[in-house]
Amino acid sequence: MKCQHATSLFSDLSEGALPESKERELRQHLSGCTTCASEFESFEEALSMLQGLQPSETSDEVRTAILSAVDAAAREESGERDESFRRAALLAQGRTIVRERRIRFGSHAVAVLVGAAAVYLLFFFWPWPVGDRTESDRDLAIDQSSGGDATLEESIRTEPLVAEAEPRIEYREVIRTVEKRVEVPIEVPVEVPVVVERVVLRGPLFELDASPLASVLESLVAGLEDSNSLRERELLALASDSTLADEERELSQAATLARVEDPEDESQIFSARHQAASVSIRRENNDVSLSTRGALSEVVPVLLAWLDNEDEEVVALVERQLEEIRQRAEADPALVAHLIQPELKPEPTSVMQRLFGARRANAVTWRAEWIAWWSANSELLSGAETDGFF
Amino acid sequence: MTIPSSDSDEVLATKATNGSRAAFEELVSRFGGAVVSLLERRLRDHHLALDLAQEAWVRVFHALSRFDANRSFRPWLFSIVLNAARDEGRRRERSRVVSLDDYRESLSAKSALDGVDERGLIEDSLDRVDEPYRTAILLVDVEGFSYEEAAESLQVATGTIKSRVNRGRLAFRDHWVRLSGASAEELTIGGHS
Repeated sequence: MKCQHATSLFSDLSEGALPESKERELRQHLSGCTTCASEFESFEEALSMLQGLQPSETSDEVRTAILSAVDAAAREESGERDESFRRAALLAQGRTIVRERRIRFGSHAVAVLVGAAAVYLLFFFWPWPVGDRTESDRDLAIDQSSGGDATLEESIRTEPLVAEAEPRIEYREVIRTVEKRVEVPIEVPVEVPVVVERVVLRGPLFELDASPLASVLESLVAGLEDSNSLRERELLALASDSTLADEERELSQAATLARVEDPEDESQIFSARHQAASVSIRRENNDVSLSTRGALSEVVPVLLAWLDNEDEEVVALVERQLEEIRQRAEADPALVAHLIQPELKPEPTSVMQRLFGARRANAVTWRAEWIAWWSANSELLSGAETDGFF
Repeated sequence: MTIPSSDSDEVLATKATNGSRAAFEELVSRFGGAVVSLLERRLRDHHLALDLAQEAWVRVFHALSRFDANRSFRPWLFSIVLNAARDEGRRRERSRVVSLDDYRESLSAKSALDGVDERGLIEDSLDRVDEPYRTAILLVDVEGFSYEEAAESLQVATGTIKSRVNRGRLAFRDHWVRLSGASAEELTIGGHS
């Protein structure tokens, strides 16, 4: 065992978390290396100092300051002076109910809006080749549109608006990908975490509670850096190189597809693919690059979700991208049309089925709001020569 | 309403969600100091930390209806606090940045005032540990989070936290030894073998 590797195991040794054989190997190293032995001794001493700091007590000053701020927020929220906390808390809970009711009772209006917007989209923006557009295609689309309203209404009534997806893809898949590329097995001395820790779908937007890319790469690099193996160091060099970047996108897509609960449900797969293909952020030789594909109505929410990323470089890049999209959309409607990539569209004849055949309410509302967005922003495209783009 | 001190954090959060201010107050009593302390060490500014702690708790209040009582409250709370700290960090980058020296001066003044040299030394060493390693050891070693709780709070993988904690401890040890007057050269990592 070399000294750097020994140092990387100090915490594990201190916590008794090493496997027996590893601990024996490390202790053998410490008994033969006075420098490492001395370092471990000072490590334990410093750790005990650090852990001797008592968890912070809450002073009266802090408690009063925090509660005053919360009470002020509660008063503002509830519009009441007395019992404002209780009212504001209940109001926060009641919002969901109010929203659900509004959608239920307003389902006719939603259905009319969705139907009108969908037909509008089908005839003006969807990528069906002009020569192939038959009368029967149109009939089918319109029939499904009117039949789909009931499905939409039913889904919104019976399904929750918010859903969570369980993590499905794991770090070892990243390792397997790198292994495949370099054709040697890898043993990474770190715990195997999930890549997508939690995904929350909320209406038309979705939030990634953990960034797959940042977590995976950081773990990978940290694990390899901690390793003392020459082979793993070579892999670290490879992982830091652009060779990994191509795999990242595939992994991101795989991670998104892995969130699909029912592989037979085309609407879920379509929705997941749509999200997966929207934003690709890559790190190559310590430079971060970003590219987007897909309708702006989808790219923008995904970009917003990335703003919560821990990596400040990524956040700065995303902010620049959002600003660029805003400026371009204001200045050039034709360019906005270009950003809608034909390959991300579903087959024209099954558009309505996919839009309204979704079983999960979040997918349905997401679609509905997506269409509403386009309807509301159709003026952006009014001057564009869209035929040529699709 | 009286809140039993035996109530778990999650039970308190549920009660607060249902409108119990007393339950919320108990949560503030349990974690208010830790929140301020973490923010203070991260932002290097006591007054700013107190302001931000207020903002973070208001965010918590607004988010309570989304808290899942089947999960632990503490990591959920700290994920909100740390998000608020990150937002503040970005705002500060664009405007004023508190100098590290100024903060160290304030720390030295504070420790001199407290008359606790050893604690001042530890705080100073801790303050010199770079992010993200400092927050990792603050959560795990000072606040007593498990690796899993710290990972959830920081929204990163557990393996990442373990790695950060080990590096943070090594860095803390180096600063602490150096400030204590020991020879830095003897303890430089990788300086041998």
